[in-house]
Parts: sequence; C-alpha cells; structure tokens
Amino acid sequence: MIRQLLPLVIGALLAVSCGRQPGVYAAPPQGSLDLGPDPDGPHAFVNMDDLLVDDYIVNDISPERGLRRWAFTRPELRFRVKEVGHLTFTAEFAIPEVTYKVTGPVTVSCAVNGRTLSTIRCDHAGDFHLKASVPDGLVEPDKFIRVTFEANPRWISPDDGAQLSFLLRSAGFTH
Amino acid sequence: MREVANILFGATFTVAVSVALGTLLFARLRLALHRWEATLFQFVVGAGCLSFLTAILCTLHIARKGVFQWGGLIAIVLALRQAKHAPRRRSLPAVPLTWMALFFVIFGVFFIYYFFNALAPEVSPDGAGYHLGNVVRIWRHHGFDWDYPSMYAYLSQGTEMLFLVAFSFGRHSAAALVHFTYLCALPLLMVCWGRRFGYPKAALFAAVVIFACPVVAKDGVSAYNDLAVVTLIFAVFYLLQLWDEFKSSNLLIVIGLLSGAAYAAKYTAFLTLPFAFAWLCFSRRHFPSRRDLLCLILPALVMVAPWTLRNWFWIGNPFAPFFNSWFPNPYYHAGMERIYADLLRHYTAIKHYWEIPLQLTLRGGLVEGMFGPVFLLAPLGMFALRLKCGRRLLLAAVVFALPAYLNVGARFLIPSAPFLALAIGVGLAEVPGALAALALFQALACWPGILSTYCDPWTWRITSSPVRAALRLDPELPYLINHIGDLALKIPIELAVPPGERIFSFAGRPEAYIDRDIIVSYESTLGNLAQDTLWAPQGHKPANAQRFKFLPVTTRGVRVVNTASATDFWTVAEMRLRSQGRELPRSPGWRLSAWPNGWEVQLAFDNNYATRWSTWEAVRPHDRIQVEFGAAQRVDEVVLECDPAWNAHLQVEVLTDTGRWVPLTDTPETVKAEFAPGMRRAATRELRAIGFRFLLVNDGDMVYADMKKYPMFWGVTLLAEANGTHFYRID
Repeated sequence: MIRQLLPLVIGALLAVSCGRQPGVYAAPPQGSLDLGPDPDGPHAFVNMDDLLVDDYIVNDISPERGLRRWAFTRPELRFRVKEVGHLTFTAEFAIPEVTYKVTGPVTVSCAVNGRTLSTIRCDHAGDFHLKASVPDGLVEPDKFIRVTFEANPRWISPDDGAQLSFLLRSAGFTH
Repeated sequence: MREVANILFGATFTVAVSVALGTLLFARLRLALHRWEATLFQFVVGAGCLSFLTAILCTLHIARKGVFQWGGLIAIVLALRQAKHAPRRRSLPAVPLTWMALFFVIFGVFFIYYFFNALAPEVSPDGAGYHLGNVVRIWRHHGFDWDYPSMYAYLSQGTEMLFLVAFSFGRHSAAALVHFTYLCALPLLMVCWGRRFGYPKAALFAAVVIFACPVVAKDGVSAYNDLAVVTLIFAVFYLLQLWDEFKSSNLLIVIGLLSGAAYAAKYTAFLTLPFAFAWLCFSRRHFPSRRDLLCLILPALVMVAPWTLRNWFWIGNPFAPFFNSWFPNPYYHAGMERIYADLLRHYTAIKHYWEIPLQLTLRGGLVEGMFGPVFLLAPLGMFALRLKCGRRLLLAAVVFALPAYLNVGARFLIPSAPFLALAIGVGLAEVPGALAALALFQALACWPGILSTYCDPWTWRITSSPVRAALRLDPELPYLINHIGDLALKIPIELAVPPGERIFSFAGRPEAYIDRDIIVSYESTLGNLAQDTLWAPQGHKPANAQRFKFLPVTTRGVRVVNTASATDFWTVAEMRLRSQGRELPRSPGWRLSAWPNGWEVQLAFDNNYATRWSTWEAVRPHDRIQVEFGAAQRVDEVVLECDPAWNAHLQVEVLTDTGRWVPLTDTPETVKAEFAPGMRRAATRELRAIGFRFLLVNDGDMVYADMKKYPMFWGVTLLAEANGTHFYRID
C-alpha cells in the first residue's frame, strides 16, 4: 500500500513546493509628506463659512454652509484657547430686515461658561458687532469654552413655530 | 410574462442538457439502473459534465449564449436518438400506493410553495452577492475574469457553471431554478435509494423530512450550491452501495466523476473522494486494484482539474483561497484567510453548547438556519446501528458533518442531514405508524406560517410565496430594493462610475445586480490594502518610531529580523536608514525584500504614512524586512516608523562583504513620532493611485463618522446615500 501511495505523497509535496516567491523590488517613487492640515478640534475663533465650523457648533445654529448662519432659540458654540490673558470675546451678527419688521428692536446677550458677558440692543435692521473683555479666571487654557447667545424677542414662524434670533457671521476670542 | 418564459426556458434547457449528457454517458457505460433512478442519476452526472465543459469554455473565453444553445441542442438531439434505441429500463421495487400518494401530496404542496420562491427575483445574500456575482462577471467577459481579485472568485464554481448556462437565457432567477432542481432531485433520489435497498418507508420519511427542512428549502430556492453538493454526495453514497452489489468498474467511473464534481461544486465536499476510496478499501478488505483505483481517481481528477489548474496558474495556489501559508501568493494574505476562517468557525452569540441542538432544530436565529423539530430525534438514529445499512448511513452522516467544524452555519450541516434523516427512518422503521406521523409532523411544523410562530424571527428561512413577484406581475426593481437595500444605489453608481472602473467597499454588496466591479475589503490583498490605507488616520497612525542606533558601519545591506513568535502582525509604515543624523536618500537602485508578504515591501519605503508593509500573519522567527544597496553605504541608525508589534523581538543585521548577515543590535529606543499632517488626504490619494475613485461606506464602518464630518480633509464628495450606505467620489 505504501508503494502505491508514494507517488501521491511525492506529488503532493511537489505541489506544495510550487507557491509563488515574492522576489526583490526597487524603491518606489517617494510620496510627498506635505498634504495640508488635519482638523484638530476648535480653536479661539470661527467664521461661519470655515471648513471646520461644525466642530464649533454645539446647538441651535443652522447646519447649511454659508457666510452667515441662522441662530435659533438657544445658540451655543464652543472654543478652545491656549493663552487666557487679556482675552476679548467678539461676535459679528446681523438682524435682517424681514425679521426686524416683525420683532422690532432686539436685545442680544452673550454668556461665556454660563456667565453673561455683554448685552447689545439692536434697534435697527443690519450688522452688529458685539465685543467684551473676558474676566480673568472665567476660562481655562486648552479647555472647552461654552458660549451661548440669547435674543429677545425672537421671530417666530407662523407656520411651524420655529424661532429665529439673528444671522451669525463670526464669533470667538482675540487677544 | 416573456421574462418568466425566458427564466423557465433557461432553467429547463440547462437541466435538459444535463440529462442529455448524462444519458449519453450512461449509454457508453451501460449501467444497469432502474427507470427513476436512471433519470435522476443522468441529471446529476450530466450536470457534472455540463459544469466541466462550461468551465473549459470559460477558460477559453468562449462562454457565449450561442455556444450553449447549439452545443446543448446537439447534446439533446443525440440523447434523444440514443434513448430511442435504448432498452426499456425496469422500474424499482413497488411501494404501497398510499405511502407514495402521501409522499407526493406533501412533496407537491411544498414544491408549489418553493417554486414561486425560486422563480421570484433572486435576493439571497450570497446568491445576489458572490454566487451570481461571479456568474455575471464571467458572462460579461465570456470567461473567467483574470483581473478581478476576490477570494470568492477563487473558489471552485462547479454549480455556478450551470448557473451561467441558465443565466445566459433567463438571468438570475433561471440560475436559482437550476439549484431548485437539485432541491427536488435529492428527496426523489432518497426515495429511489429506499426502494432499491429495501427501506422504502424510511426513505419516504427522510425525503419528506429533508424537503420540508427550513434551511434546506431556503438554500434550495436560492442561487446557492449546497443542495447541488448534498445531492452529489448522496449520489456517490448510493452508487457505492450499488458497486457493492455489482463491482462494476463503470460504476466507479461515475462515482469518481461525481466525487470530483462535488469538490468542483464546493470545496467542503472534499471528503467525498476519500470517503469513496475508504469504502472501496473496507468493502473488499484490501487495497483496491490498480484498475479500480484508476477508474475512481482519474475521473475525479478530471473534474477537479479545471479549478485546481486554473487557480494554480492564476493565483499560484491550486487550493485558493485556502492554504495560502503553503502557497504564498500576492492575491490573498494567509493572515486574512486565518481571520476569515476563525470568524466562520465560531458561534458568535451562542452562550452554551447545549443551545446548539435547539438552535439547529427549533430556533435557528443564531446558527443561520434550522432543520426542523424531527431532528431532535437524531439520537434515535442510533437504533440504526444494528443494521449494516444504518451503520453506513451514520458513518456518512458523521463524515459529511465534519466540514461544519470549519463553518458553523447550519448550511454546512446540510450534506449530513439526508443520512441522519435516513438513519432515524431506518431506526424507527419498525415502530408502527411512527414514521408517517413524524413525517406529517415535520411537514406541518416546517410550513412557513407555522414555523414563524416558534422560530427566531430573523431565522434564515422561506417566509412567504411571492407569486406576483415571481410571475413579474410586480416590477422587479422595487422588489429587489425592498429586499436588498444597497440596490437603491444601483442607478447612482452606474451613472457615476465609468464602465470598467472599480469601486472599493468595506462590506460585500449585491454584485450580481450592479454593473460595476466592487472590490471588497476582506476579499483580496488589494481590498486589504485599500482598507488598511483608509483605516490609517483613525486606526493605526504610525505614532511611534523604533530607533536602532549602532556604531557606524559600511555595508551593502541592512535588514530588521524578528526572532520571536507572537500573535501580532508586524507592520512598518516607513523604514528609514540614517547616517550621522541624516536620512539616506532612497535610491531606485535599492533592492527591497521582505518575508512574509514580500510583494508589499515597497509600502514601507514609499514615504507615505497611510500605507504600511505588514507580515499579514502572526509574527514568526525569521520574518524580515530588508534593503540591499547598489554600492556600500555608511549607516548608524535604522528607524521603523510604525504602530509597533510589542511582542515581536526585532534585531538589526547588516550584510558583510562575505555575504553574511551579522546582527548589530536588538535594542530599539521607542519614541513618539511626529509625523506629517494630512493623513486623510494621503489615504485617499493612495486609493486613487491603486485604482479607486469611488467608495461605498456603511454607517457602521470605522471611517464613516470622520469622513462625514471632514469630507474636505479626506478629499471626497458624497454622491448618493441610501439605507445606511454612502457612495463617495474621491476628488
């Protein structure tokens, strides 16, 4: 029996020895390591048309891309700063004619980490610039800073009850 | 209705050609078979021959409708002429009419229910995936597509060859109907076996039990291959018993042919030929004569040859996609094979082994199908041990259940099920009324409406008989999309992707319905590379650098060798050589090599952190990555930038003038690496470089959340999305 099986065994061993061998290769063309930036979370300031704006938005700001975005009922953003000395918070926004006609003058306030920082009364339609110093100790370096806005009164849609506060252009901290 | 006519013609023509080829072969072999069994064997054997011939046509790239049509017609005409002159065959021993009537009533009712499922648009996962995916690709190329890398394309495709013939006339459902023919042939063959060998009651019982089996039925009405396999195996068993009586060499030829056809249909039927060989040895109680051996083995080898030779020449591995460690090749990683095999070998949601019998018989949800409650009586099959025939049945049941160790899905127990059912039947044959009652009970308990009341709701089974869809009274595409969510992307894909261009996908897709090639992450080396590259930004940034410093040497080569065994894969994103703090510029004259997986060694020298060389298997001593220079170079540091394999033990060796490799150091300093930004962009750029401009990403895929959030950083645009699948273009 062994003699009859021997050719089979030898055949099998020969078959096993016939796998492909990988061989030797030349060094390939070298790729470039300069491929642009990586997203690394929020920084101190954001324009609403920035590529990474979604990283800054926490709540109640319209999702579609554009130069300005609608702030709804309780708009909230987050930021991170490396140095906290002499920090100023700024925000650019607009009250459009179409909502102003309904709401009349609007009071917009902003709070940083839950503490109200500044309030501005918008008594006409158009662009506004909110600016306020940040007290020492209110924010910590490299930790998320929560910024919330509140507008009063807000425009309320007669169709579905949606509330619009203002059109936000930019917000953030500067030194 | 014309579509239905095409489907029915495709399937009928394929079966008719099979029977014709079987008739012609049987006429040459002069086998003394009875009427019913002759027809069934002619189909089974002829289908094996047709599959073989189609595989040859595919190899020659002449698999065309006209060739099938005229070749088939010639075979049918010759067979009809042959049949005209053939003596009338005797019928099998008679069985009481009431038994046969009961059998055919149950068989008929289930047949009608199943038939509409088989005729309906094919929506089974593997059928719409790779079984018919392969068929469609072959059909497009009129032969095997040598450029398409997929482990599923490397499998033997004996049944798919039959599907191809049917598909050429009636498309997907015609293929499913061919498989359905096997589902019907098997119980009839079992009945013939019982009538011939004196166990008609047991056989009628077992035939009903098998035909009503939920997993058998669902498989049988789909474009799978398990019913072809089990029918072939049972046919071999049947003929071996005939050979015991007649000792005819011609029977051995047919047995060999069927054994080879079983392997050609599915690798898991590899035990059929050894089983037949062992039967020959034990039946005569000595080693078979050279003539018998040749009669058995040669036809088997002929049937196996198209697949082993194809894979040997194509892939370099006759058993691809398995045994890649024995037959290393650049198309499928041995490590991926192991990962895949491990996945199939383990029950994922079973907590205790005692759950398995209940799952296999009554629940089915955790084992991908169920066999019905009568199989709870499997221990009673032991009563069959008192009979020689019973012992053989039980032995066959055990032998053909062995492949289920490699894949725990219930489908892989189907080849064993007829033998077990027959053993139960033989064991209980003398208990009055028991078999009839149990057969009726199984039929009732497995009727889809009743089955749904006790099995797991997600059990793989037939749930309804979609008559309107089957008759194409309802449009096909909505039916398909309703059952296969991915097909909602069919039109966007075919509009956006130019013909001939490939799409990368992390998960398998219904390839049979999408007219573009989809490279799936786990199916090939290319898929592995694309997946590994896309995973790099989140999954394996080369965050560490292993620095091997040593006194300056002038050498013609440097290599890093592993000396330990561990389960990790060893990966190297970049291997850099330094001298006096400066990197040696990589020259096209460098000769790079590695073991294992040397085919991908360039990935460690391409200055791209999104790609990496990997052993793609557990590290073993002598694994290495190596550079040889055109001229001697001065080196004092080797840096491996990687996600380290902590259990590997690496040492740096240099090549001396005498051609010996001398170890220098095995003590790296591991530091956190500062690598360049832009990994996402690097990953998609690499994907473009290897030929992918389009991606299919699921909600659950690792990259999806990040890709959705940062499409600009990835450099991708979302083109369409549906049912949790997202179709991206790399810009």
